[in-house]
Amino acid sequence: MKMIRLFAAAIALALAAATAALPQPAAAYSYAAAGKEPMLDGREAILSAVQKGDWDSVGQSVTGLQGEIAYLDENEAKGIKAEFDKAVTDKSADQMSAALNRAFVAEIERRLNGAKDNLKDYQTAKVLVVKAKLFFDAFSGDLDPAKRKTADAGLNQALEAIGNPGIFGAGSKPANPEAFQAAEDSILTALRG
Amino acid sequence: MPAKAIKPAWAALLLLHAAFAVWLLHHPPGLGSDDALFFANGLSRFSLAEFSPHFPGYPGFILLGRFAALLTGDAAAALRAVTLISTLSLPAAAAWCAAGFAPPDVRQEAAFSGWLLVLLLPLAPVLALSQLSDPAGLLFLLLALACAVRGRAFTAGLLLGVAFCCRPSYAPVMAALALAALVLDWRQGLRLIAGAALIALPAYGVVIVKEGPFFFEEALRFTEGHVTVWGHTAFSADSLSWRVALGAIPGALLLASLSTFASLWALAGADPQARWRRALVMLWAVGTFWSLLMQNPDNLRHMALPLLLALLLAASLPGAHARRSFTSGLLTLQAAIWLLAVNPATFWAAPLDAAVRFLSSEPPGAVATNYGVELLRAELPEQRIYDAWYAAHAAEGLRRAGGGWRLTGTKPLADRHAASFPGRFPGERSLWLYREP
Repeated sequence: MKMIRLFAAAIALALAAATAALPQPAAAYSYAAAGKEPMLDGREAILSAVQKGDWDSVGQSVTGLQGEIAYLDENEAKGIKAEFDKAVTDKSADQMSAALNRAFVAEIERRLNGAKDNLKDYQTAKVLVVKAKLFFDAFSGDLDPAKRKTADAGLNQALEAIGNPGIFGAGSKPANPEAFQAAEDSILTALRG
Repeated sequence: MPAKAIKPAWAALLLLHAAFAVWLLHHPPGLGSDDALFFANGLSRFSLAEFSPHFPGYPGFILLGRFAALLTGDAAAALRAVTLISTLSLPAAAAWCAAGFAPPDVRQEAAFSGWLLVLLLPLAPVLALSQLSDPAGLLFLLLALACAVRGRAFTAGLLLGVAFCCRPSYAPVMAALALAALVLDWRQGLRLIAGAALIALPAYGVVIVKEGPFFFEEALRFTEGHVTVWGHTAFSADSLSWRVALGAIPGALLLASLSTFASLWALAGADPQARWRRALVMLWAVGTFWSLLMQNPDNLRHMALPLLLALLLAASLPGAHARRSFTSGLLTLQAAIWLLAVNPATFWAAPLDAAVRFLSSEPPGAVATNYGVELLRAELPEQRIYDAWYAAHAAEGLRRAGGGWRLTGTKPLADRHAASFPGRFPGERSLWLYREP
């Protein structure tokens, strides 16, 4: 019995020591912060360097996004590479913000186009629309509230339009390509306007 | 307890319980957190990909909420009903549990102490008004324990399955219960596991079929994110300390220490229930280490499970002297925490809801926040909400808007302070709002 109590006291002390040894700085909270997209991390690195006036770092961070920017330049956002390069050359924070926001809209369009091409594959289409929503949320603070509301409603319409296979077929709903196209048009018009 | 004193004591206890329920109901409704918003969304449209609710879907809690919504007609009210009723049922479940773990001759007293100790749990108000899955998970876990200790293994398993569907993050303690049941009597253990599987497998099976491969991608992303990014666990880059979090509440570290001693004291004893108490000590140890290493100290409610198990152990100790000493020590400390940390005469909204109300009367502008990004976006469509996790983007947003608000959990310097939204109970974080030029 004595041994058990000694053991008990030892464990209690070890527990107290374990909690005391853990470090303790500030808190923040965002479920979007894992499984990151290069453009999300890249924007943070670019804007942080812009705020410090460290344009060498800005240039390096833009170079780090080269693959992503080249893809968008070839597809959804022609000329965007030149916009990023010009913002770095001119050391213009406003040009950089504009280029970043254009890139985010292009990322959203890229996911929505992907979903449109995969309307027969519900799970893929769903993940792509949700990715589009992730990019939308990440820059929605920059949008005029009325346009944000329109784009947000459009994203919900897009999720409705991809249909639903139900559970083992029960409650299934087919995809509606026309409704999806209308939702995408309304989202992109709001974001670009 | 002398037999003559029993009836008045129970009457007084039930009166105190009723007063607690009335006091809780007086608090204004509100979602209070992003997670509660995700649950509320999940009641009408279940889709993990849309954070409706967040991973892993909490199918048991969502079903309970949907049943409640049939009566309330409103998702937030349904969540409020489920969490309030679950929390208010915890003392009775604890009494049933404690009576099961105590030696047969002290069951009455153990039940009474268990009820009283859990009724005075300082985390009870934050659990009851959270609109989150903890109270339902705790309730079904306690019911499972009460059945397991009485040899009703299959029923215990079914209840354990429901608990897992409500609060999957208690899984290590649930696994420890299954292991203990197997070690004590492998046939009973298998019955318990079969019961749990009968509920949990179809429930999560439906979620997995509905979500497809995304479920597993999100499982990886969410687990990694919880452990290393937003969960502030011992393995996260900016981990928080449980010692600091508990130390912020006067008396909480003492309560943690005394409950630890009470739990370890329960290793002793030679009565027929002693082996089940030792199993409960193992569950408590697993729960404690799990919470210390893998749960977020930013939300003290994550300590509710090990603390509840420790209170059960204290209430069911075999020796009258030890039981009464630990029980009265714990009760005194709990009462002291209540007296020091709770003003029973104020009925504020939760800090985040109060901040939303404040900001909704302000002209449109930019708000950067560390807390409740999604709730703020949903409730304040006219404001531009920036997620302060992306610090540079939020700073750029405030700059371009010509200044704006910052909502934070860290008290700002006095000259920048605009409004404070104090936490109402132990374990509820205060928030501050200030203007950034």
